[in-house]
Amino acid sequence: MRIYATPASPEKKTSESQIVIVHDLPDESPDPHVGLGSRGGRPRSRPPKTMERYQRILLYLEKINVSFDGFKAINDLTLYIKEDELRCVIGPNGAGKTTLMDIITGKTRPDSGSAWFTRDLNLLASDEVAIAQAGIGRKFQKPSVFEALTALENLELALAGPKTVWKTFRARLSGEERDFIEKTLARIELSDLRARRAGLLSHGQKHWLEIGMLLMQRPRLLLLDEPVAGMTPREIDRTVALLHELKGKHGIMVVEHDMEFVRAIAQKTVTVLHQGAVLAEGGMDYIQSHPAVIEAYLGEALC
Amino acid sequence: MAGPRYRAFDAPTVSFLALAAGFTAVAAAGGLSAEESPFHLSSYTMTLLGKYLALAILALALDLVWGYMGVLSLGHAAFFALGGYALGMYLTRCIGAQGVYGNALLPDFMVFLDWKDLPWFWRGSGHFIWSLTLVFAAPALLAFVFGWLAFGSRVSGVYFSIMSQALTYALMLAFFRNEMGFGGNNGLTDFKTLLGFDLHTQAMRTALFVASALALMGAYIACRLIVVSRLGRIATAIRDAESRTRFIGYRVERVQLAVFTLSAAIAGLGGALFVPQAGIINPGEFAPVKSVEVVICVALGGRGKLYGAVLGAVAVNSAKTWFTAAWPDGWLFALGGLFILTPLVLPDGLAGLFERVLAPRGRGGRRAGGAAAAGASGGAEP
Repeated sequence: MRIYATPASPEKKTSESQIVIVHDLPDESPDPHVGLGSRGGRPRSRPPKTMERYQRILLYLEKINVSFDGFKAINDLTLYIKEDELRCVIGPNGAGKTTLMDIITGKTRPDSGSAWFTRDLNLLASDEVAIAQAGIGRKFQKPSVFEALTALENLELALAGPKTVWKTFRARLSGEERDFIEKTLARIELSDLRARRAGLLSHGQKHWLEIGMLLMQRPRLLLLDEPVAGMTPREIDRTVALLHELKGKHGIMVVEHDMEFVRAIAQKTVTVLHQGAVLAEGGMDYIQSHPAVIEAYLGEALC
Repeated sequence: MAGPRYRAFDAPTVSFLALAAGFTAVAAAGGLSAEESPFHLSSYTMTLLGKYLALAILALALDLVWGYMGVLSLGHAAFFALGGYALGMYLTRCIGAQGVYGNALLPDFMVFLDWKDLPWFWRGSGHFIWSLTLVFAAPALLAFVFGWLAFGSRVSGVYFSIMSQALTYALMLAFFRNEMGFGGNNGLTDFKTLLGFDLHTQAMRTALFVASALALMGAYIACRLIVVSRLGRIATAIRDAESRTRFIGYRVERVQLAVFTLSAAIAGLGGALFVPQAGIINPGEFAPVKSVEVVICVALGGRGKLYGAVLGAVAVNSAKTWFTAAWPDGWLFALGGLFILTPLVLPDGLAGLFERVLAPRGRGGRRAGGAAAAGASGGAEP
């Protein structure tokens, strides 16, 4: 008999991960394929056994701790995202939202904990490139596109496929790839601006172009860091519509400040981060009436 | 709207190559014409032009890594000098028994140092093909090792520039030592023949000039093929948003390493063409100021424009020739002035000016586009 943490279910409305007792788990799990991007130096580890039970979990973070010069940016954080789930993560400034993204994408190494992307990829033993190639696309808070290149070229570079030096030197667009680019251009409403340099696009259009670039990678998980920061209300509406189109097709994690936006896109579960830990997890109504959440947000508002 | 088709040989490239070929043909005809002819170009002029073109190859190589990829190498002349030494060794061996000491095997400086045998790295230097291989391989190998360490540790920006400057300085100090086996302070000089032809005839001078022009055009086409490929656009992507490039799955350090290594090989070719025309290669070619001159060539010509690098190299080196004859002490001041004024007055260089003048009026988008590109690459400035 072992004890494993599992994701908090929204129905139970508790603020902490629950402990469930799991019986009859086999002692050895099948040897996972950890070759993807795993590097020497770190001990090879197996995927946590929770994932044996919950195979539909796409992203598994457990007991993650990160500190910067003594400041605990992430404190014993546990978070699971299922396949095709749209998860909003909210929290006041300094709650550790961006650090969380950094850990998932391999930019920051946690001091302890485990992080897996499906059962195949140990995120803590992989670098950014391996993680990106495995299917995690990340959108930055400040839109990051290649300003000197056209919108179309931006999407072309982001295409999934072999990315070695020689292959990229020889690369030619296939008809299928061209169609996919067209489809994505239409989806992000940049079809007419395909030949415009990305540096000349509006702020909102840059955000969409970046989302388009993520889609070109055919990702399984999209990480969106404040996707509506600095957008006009109309652009926000458009982004909401875009996210509604995408949900169900990819796992999506949205980190956001804007409560109204979160309300507009949130599915079942919203996670509230506070001081690097999960403060509450549940439906939007539950979150908004949660005393600890109100206190955390109020505390910020009063500052 | 045109699809995402990129053609290496677009109208500006073809016109540039045609212009270059025409200029070469006219100059070569001038070099070969009779001395009484009004179109005659002296052997001094032919050599001067040939040297400019060799330096333009170096500028082209730097533009590839700096203009397109945002890696400012302040030691690129080191690769040029290595290519020069590789061919210089061959030229030294060609002297044979015609040297001052009349030793058929050992170069003069080795006889002078009382060496009894050729050092191991001089073996094979009597063979032209082997030397030609070294012209490319020696700079490429150095660039590969240096780049492997630097890009692998994600050294970039100004730190990379400083390290590359230190590299060329260290090489200069090393080559100054007699024990290195490259003629120390004096370097390699007093060349007599190349492939059996006397280096000092007018015909040979013209031939070397034509060889330089052909090599420049070849290097230009090679660079052009790279910058229009997806690889070239990834290089630009790295320049503008390195971490974005990483997060869409490219191994940035490998792209940097590949382009940097190739660029070093091209620079080596430039050096190999420079040496027989200059008649000497010495450690002075490793001096940091040589590398800074190339940076100024590219900045003045226009970063991220291949023909800009060629224009800049010819312009700066012509100015240098004029200054060293008319006002030798003024050259460093002029160079410093260019260094300061170019980014202020001509941020897009001569190529940018040229395109602004040529661009049809009323197409504001194009102008703004140029400005945006300049802004985007501004981060690569020293």
